[in-house]
Amino acid sequence: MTYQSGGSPESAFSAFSAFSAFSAFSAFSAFSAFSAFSAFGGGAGGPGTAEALITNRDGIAGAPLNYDPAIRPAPPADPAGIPRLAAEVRARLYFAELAGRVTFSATLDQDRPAVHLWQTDLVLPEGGSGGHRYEEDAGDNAGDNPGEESDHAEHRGPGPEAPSLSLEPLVSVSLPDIDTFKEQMRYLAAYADLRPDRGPEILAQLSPPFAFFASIGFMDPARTPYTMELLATAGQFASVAVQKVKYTLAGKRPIEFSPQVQPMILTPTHGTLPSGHATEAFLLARLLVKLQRAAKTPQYQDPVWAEMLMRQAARVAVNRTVAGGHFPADSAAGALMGLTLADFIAERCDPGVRTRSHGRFLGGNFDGAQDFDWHMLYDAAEDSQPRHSGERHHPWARVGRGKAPRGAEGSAVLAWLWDKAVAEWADLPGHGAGG
Amino acid sequence: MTLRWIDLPPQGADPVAAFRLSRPDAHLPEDPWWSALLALEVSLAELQARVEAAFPEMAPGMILPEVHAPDLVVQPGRVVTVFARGPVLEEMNRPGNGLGVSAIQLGAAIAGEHVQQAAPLEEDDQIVLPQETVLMGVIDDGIAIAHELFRSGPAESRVELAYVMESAPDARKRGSYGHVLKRRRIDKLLRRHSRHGLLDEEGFYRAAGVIRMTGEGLEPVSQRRSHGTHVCSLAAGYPPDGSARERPILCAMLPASVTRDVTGRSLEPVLGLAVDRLLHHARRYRLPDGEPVPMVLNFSYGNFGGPHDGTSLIARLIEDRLDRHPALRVVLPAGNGNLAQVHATLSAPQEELRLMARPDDRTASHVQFWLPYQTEREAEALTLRVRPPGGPESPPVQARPGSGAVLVDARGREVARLAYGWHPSPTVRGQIGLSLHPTAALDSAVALAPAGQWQIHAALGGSSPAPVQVWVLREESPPGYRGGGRQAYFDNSCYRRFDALGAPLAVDPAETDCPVRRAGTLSGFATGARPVVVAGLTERNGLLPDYSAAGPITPTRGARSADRKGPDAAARSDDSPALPGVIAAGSRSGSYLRLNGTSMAAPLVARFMADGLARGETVDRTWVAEAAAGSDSTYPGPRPAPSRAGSGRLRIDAPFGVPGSGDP
Repeated sequence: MTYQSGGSPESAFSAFSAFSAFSAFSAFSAFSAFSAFSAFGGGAGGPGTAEALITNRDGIAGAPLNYDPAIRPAPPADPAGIPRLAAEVRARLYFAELAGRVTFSATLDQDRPAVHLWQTDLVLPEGGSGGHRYEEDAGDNAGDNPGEESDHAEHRGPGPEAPSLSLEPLVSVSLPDIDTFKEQMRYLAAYADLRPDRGPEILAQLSPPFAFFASIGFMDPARTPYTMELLATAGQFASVAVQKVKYTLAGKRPIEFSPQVQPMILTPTHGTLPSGHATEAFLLARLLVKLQRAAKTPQYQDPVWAEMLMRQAARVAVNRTVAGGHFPADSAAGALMGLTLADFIAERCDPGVRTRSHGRFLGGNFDGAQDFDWHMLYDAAEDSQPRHSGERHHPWARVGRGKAPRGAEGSAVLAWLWDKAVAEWADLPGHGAGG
Repeated sequence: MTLRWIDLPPQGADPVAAFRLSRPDAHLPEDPWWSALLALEVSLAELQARVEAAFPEMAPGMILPEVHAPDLVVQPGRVVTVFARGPVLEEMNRPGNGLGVSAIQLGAAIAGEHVQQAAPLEEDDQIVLPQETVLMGVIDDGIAIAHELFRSGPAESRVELAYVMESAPDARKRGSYGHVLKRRRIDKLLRRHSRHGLLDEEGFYRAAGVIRMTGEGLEPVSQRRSHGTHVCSLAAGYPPDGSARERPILCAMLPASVTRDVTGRSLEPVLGLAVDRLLHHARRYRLPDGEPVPMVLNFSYGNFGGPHDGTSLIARLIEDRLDRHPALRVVLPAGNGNLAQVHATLSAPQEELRLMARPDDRTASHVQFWLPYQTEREAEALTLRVRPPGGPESPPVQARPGSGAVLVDARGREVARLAYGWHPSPTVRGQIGLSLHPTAALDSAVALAPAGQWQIHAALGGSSPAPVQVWVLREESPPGYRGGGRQAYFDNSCYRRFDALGAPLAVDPAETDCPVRRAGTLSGFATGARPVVVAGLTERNGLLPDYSAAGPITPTRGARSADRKGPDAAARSDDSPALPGVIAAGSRSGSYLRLNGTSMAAPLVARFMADGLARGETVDRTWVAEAAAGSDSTYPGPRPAPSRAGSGRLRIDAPFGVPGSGDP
């Protein structure tokens, strides 16, 4: 990911590379479309412009007017205002809606550490009961200024009513045995033979592989700006979640198992399982499937689109094994995580979806002799994950289904973004009119 | 490095085989078997009995591939492929051995887990095919049999049989070496791996055992480019649109492990085994009139070594199978070694050769000095002295049994060998072999030969006026394959590589007295009397590519001149100088790419011959030569020399990729 420097006040955040999700946008060079503004002389940026604006105001503002504007307050939390926000601001807004709804716990067993990702739901109180209201201390100076009674009434009154919090499992990942990884080393040796063949792909996929998905789903900043915002947000969210899981599991990389792996790219410093590339690629692939199908465009209802998008995701994942950075088990865990997170995001975004999934990667059951095969984790016809993958009684992946709790609060922001993105995949209204 | 020469221990008839068999364990895979071609003086059943009697402790010391089961008691004189342990082969290589073996050619050392005793083959039912059917046999490396060009529908393969010669050791139902997929099984796998109209080719090749990802070495079908797929599509690829001709495919995929043998490389035994396996299955097919179905077999591989007179074991095996299968035709490429500097002709009384042993060569290098046909052995016919880089000159080694010398390093470990051997009837020629150890190894247990220029002094004498023919055996590892072989070559300063304008010289300068020659680089496989041998051709300008190897071959025993001057014809191997190669299948359906070489020209001629056979014509070397002579005048420029292009340039349309010139 590239470091994004920018002139906007928010750019302090971009010092955290985690927040460089915006750079995902730049992977499309999507927002360089805004460089059109530079035709106007750089917008509000630059000290020269500021000085010019000062003298400019001196020249024309004149004496202060006794002016009473006919101005109204803006409606609070109205998604209609989202398009007026800068891209970076929107990205933070979306991210907050996703990242604020998950939390983590871990089982720190030396032999088999596991990490659990929980989805949290805020359940709003019904009819004022059930919620807990925090009382604020009104302080000693209450009533000092009788002339500003209404303000003080808010200060002195009860605080915001706390919604209740519900926790449900979202993704659980446990680490395979060290012997399983040792057995997987033969795949590192075999796949290394493909490096001359896959080199250009591997290097191109050092950045998020949007171009590869755009080569199947028709995406372009002009045509599908909101789809790209959704995917960038999803990718950013996934990368944060993946880093938490990787840190907890602390899986060692192939390069630590043998001096002969000699990866063709630098091995990232974070843990090996799950593969972040697999997680993000399968997440993006499945979100695209969901958008295409939700748009009800006839050709996108054919599962062949899902099949191809999943092939693409698998290719991205396997390329990391070719490069020498990941075990096949990493791809399996990442794919499971990405597919499950796609369901989570879709449910967050689409008020019509009430079902949710819980995916578990059971590392202890993963057979080291096994290569990664996405078909074991996803059914393209149904856009569904099988209940278990691997041996029936010792599956290495399990997926459960559930429903959102009653009263769970949705996200108007994400619902707005989702609708905009879905609309980008729909045929134009005139389509099919026969004219 | 302190080097010295010591006496040669007693050794066998074929110097290269003797050297390779005597390598220390560090050069060999675990629990090694060797593939080998044997020329038999007894029946197979008798051979087996004798080996069991002579090596009771090995049980077994030799495994007969199951394809030989029907031929166990047939007449002696046959050339067959077997798998055997090193000591058994050392005995077989001993002149006058009691096992009934007159000559051996060593193939590759194979890890024991890949070879096993297998159950006899079941006999296939007879199948009657339409009258215009021609079976297409292809033996090559990995072949992407699920490519659309080898299917007539989504799950209808045109591959009747695929012999995958390297299987996972735990693969179910495998034979003594590798496993066989028949069409019903292929179709079943195609159905199982098709989803929503898309074939999951990764899954298919895994299930078929074509891709195993074991880490043992390159699996060509896992790559975008695979030589075998490309060749097979040029010979027998047709789009699945109903236009396919009746060309069922029988194919064999050679094991990549052959290229990993660091003691030397010889494909002949596995090639022989593949030929026998395909022919065994081809027997089940009949035309409606009861006649056997014609079959064109293409093998787009070449080598540098061998006697080059049609008497090599593989040449004899092919001639024998052609005798026994009148419906069979064999097509071979001329080879790409024209400029490889691997051939020399010694005819002056004193000759000097400079052999360049490259640094970082992880495989052994072998040079064969073939004496002319002689009814009497004359020791003075050839005397060699060899001086390694920085080392002392060897004692003279002569064309006399037992003559030889061993070069050892300061610790007394052998790093090179000079040895004389005798090749009995029908070759009847002596050979002095110079074998060098690798010049580099990752295992410190391997003693290394010095890299650099080895000086070879040859003195010719005796009564024969015929020259001594020299070839360096092929050792370069093909792109992508492991092995680390780097081709040794002759580096004589008299060899002129470029003409006055700086262009590479594709033919030897007139009147040259340099012993290093382009003439005579024709592939050692391509020297038999009946296979059709094909040179390359740049289609647009009508010139032969520089790499396309040249004849002549050495006259066969008793003949005044060789029975071929060179290839039989030249055919498209490159579309134009700017578009090298021809377009044909990549490793996945829908993918096409360019490869060049005589390997591409041969299958195009195989395709051309199949069309002739389907029309009921008598297709043989003469038929091809006449067709080439007929179309030569349609190309610009004069007819190329027969030593490089045979009877002329044969015009064959590109089957894929060039609009307007493909099949209708």
